[in-house]
Amino acid sequence: MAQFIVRRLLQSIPTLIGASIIIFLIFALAPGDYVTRQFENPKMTPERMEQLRALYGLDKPLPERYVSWAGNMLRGEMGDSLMFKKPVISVINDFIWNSFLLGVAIMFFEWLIASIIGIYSAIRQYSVFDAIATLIIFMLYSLPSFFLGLLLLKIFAVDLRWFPVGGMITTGSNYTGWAHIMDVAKHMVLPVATLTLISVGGLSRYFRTNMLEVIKQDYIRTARAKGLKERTVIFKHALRNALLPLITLFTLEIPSLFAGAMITERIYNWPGIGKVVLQAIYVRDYPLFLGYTMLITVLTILANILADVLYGIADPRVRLK
Amino acid sequence: MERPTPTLDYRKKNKKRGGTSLWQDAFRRFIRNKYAILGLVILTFMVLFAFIGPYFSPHQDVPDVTKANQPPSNEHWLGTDNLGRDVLLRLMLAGRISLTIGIAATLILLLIGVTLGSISGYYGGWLDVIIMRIADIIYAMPGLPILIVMGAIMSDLKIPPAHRIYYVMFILGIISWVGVARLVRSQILSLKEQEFMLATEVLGLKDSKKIIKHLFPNVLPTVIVAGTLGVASSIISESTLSFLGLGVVPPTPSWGYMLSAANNMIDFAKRPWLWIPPGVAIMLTVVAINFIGDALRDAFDPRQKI
Repeated sequence: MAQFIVRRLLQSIPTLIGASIIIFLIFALAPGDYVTRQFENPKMTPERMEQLRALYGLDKPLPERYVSWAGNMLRGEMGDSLMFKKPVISVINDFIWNSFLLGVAIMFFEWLIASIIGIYSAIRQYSVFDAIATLIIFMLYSLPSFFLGLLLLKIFAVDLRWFPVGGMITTGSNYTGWAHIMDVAKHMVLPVATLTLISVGGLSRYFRTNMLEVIKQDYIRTARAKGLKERTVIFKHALRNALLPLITLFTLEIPSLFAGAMITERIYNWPGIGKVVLQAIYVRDYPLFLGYTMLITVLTILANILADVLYGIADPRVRLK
Repeated sequence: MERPTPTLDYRKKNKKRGGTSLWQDAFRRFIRNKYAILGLVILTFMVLFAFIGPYFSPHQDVPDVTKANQPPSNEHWLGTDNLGRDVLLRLMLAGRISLTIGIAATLILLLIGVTLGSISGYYGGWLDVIIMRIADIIYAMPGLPILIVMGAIMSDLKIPPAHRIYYVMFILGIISWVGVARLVRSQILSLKEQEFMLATEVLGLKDSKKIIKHLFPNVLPTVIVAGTLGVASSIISESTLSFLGLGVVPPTPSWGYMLSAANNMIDFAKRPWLWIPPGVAIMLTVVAINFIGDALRDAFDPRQKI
């Protein structure tokens, strides 16, 4: 096991280097940098622009910039965000936890709802419930997140005024303790609902497919033949085995807890990392974008390794080599 | 009452049993799937709506500021936009662009994915290592941020609006081939081990013949399913990019760009006819394609009952 983990970690080094080169090149080869973006106006002389470029380290040749950037990355220094005028790490730290809060809530509801719908659809395959659930799931799954977000915002915040239109706390309020928690929760309802509804479809299909696969197996027939209660058959014998492949899915979802949701956070003005990075793209603040992308890439690679390891632990038929 | 003659009965039975090829079985399973038929109906409607619809519109797609921002009426069923253009007509014209981009982007991703996946699976060795490494790299990078950055770069390069749709197709295709390549590779790896491939070896067939005549037909069902679902996700990606103002830009209409009207607080709150119809159009199209793709997957699954 330890050998497997070490080997996978070593294998991921070239992947990481490749990803860093691609990400760096995408931004570096684009015409127009932070300086032209932020300071270009008729009064600005070319000399002053060059000075500013030197200040931000944008005047050196590409390979040199890559090597110095990658070296800093390895030491955990992501440089300074041009937009916030402070270290990228502290900017990410400021916003990522707001995204994490949303992410955890979404994950909780997504798995709860998907498991209920998926299992029930599988037990009652071809029932009216199954048919309606399938229809609704497909519709939700086919909605672009920004459209669903806008729709919920329009109906529940603008028209019905049940929930605030955006942000994380009521502007100008000084709630503390319980009142603060309730205030944040109220602001969370719509973004969480949007992203949960979007993602619940795919997951509940997985639950359904896996359950259907397991229910057909001989050991389920045996369990029923033994005269066990249907409840025991479904939840103890079938569900446990159906959950096995979902461990992988669950683990691969972990990076998304930290990645934030660019579009939804923007629509609801949620101060998360997704919204900030989207803004960083618009103003060409690439230290922030590069730092964020590399962080998510590393998390994705680690989650992949973790998924394989966990699957190997959970399923004794799988031998990790 | 006449008793059916034995010959007729025999024929009937034979008819029922006929159609043993994978494709005939698949077709039979497909047309029996209610969701597939629903999907086909909706998709046909959307295609006719976008490509034939504009010819039936009494309006011209020209700005007329005197008629700006009218709510839905008898004359303008879905109202008019801020330049006084008929929203229903815009919706149809935008559909042409969004559907075309969705399909073209998918063809590009299939071309890249199937080619690289086949090479990787068939030849193995260092080619396989390199291709799969590149796939790993692209897979590990967050897709949406990269897509948005590429959109932003298009704006920096000052690509003329008329050319942007081609760039959008290519970007979507280049970003999303990995899944198909992995799928095709794993299929070919398992097909290679089967006896009919050994037979082609014994017969001394050329590589090109082995791949095109014997491997490809077996991979085709997978590719068709992946392609269908790929069109759905390409349409969503394009609309997201255009919604952010980084995909298809005016004067070319697209559903995503029409939705970006909602970025304006007044249009968003007071003029829902500007942004709800394109959203519904995207949803209907994508849901129809997903129904068809899902039904195709089931239809091609040999374990399913006929």
